[in-house]
Amino acid sequence: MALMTAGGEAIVPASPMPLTPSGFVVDAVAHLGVTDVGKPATPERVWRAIQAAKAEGPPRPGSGGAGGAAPTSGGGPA
Amino acid sequence: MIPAPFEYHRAESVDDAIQALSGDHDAKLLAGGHSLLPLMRVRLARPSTLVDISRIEDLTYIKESGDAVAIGAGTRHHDVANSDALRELCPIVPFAAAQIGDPQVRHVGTIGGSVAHADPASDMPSVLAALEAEIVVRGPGGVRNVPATQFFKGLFEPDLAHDEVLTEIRVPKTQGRGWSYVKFHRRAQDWALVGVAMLAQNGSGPAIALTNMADRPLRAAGVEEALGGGSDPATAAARAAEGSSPPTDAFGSAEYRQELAKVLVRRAIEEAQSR
Repeated sequence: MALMTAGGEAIVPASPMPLTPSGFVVDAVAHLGVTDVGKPATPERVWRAIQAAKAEGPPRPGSGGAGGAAPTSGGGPA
Repeated sequence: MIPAPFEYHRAESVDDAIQALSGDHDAKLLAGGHSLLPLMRVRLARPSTLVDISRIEDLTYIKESGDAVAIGAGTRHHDVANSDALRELCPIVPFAAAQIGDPQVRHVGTIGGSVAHADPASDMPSVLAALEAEIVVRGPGGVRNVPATQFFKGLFEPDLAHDEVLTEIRVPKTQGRGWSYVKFHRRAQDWALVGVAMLAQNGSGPAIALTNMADRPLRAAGVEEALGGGSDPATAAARAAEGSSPPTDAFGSAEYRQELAKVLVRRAIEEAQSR
């Protein structure tokens, strides 16, 4: 059971994590401006993707759908 | 992997165990074995003798004792999790015990073993630190009662001499006091990425202790101070990472854990204040 010490040393190799299909995850956070979270979609990757999107600028209005890589100009601060 | 060779001694009593430990500096106690044996298999632990205390029936009990509930160190996590007395008198303890490992682990692992192992990623040490529980330790010189807030001195470093046995954990009765234990992990049986044990204010001020945010259970002093001063949960929780030094490992970076701590502390405060 002891997969990892708190110091981060592996005691026993971790068994594979079940993968979350990342497309669903991207859809769920697309309104924040996220276009990719990487694989596997771990909680930390999702958090980092949200932080990166926030740092890039305000989310594009109506960016909930797929595609639409280019920001529309003149939308003003959302 | 196969452990290095060792001797085996089944202790008939706590005194017998103390005697066996006194005669051999490299002997180690075996209770449930669910923390020790994995370490022995990869030879991070190489005890000369295992002194098995798992069959000492005197160490298995849960009983009221004045304004506390006394839990024998040999009590299995499963029995702690399902104790009616604890559910009534100190509900955070059985709730947290039910979050440890998986059913197999909880039927074999013991509360005393988990506490004596002093793994900062374990759930019970931070719960006891928030409760300001007492750890009862017996050695050749007699009995000592150590506050849980002082018992954990560092990574795998309990306040235990090599010839001392942790015999009892005394948790205060907390009826009427709001509480919460929030544990974030990726799979049900995992260690906490971060855990938060919280007891709401009741004259003595709110108490919050964090799992896996330092080399020992960490009291979130900044959050406690803010709550005591009347801050709302979100404002107080923003101070959750103060003084922390969480690990970075395959499950998450230190930076992520610090962010996670703020979120989980807010949830814990809200839950504790609502009940």
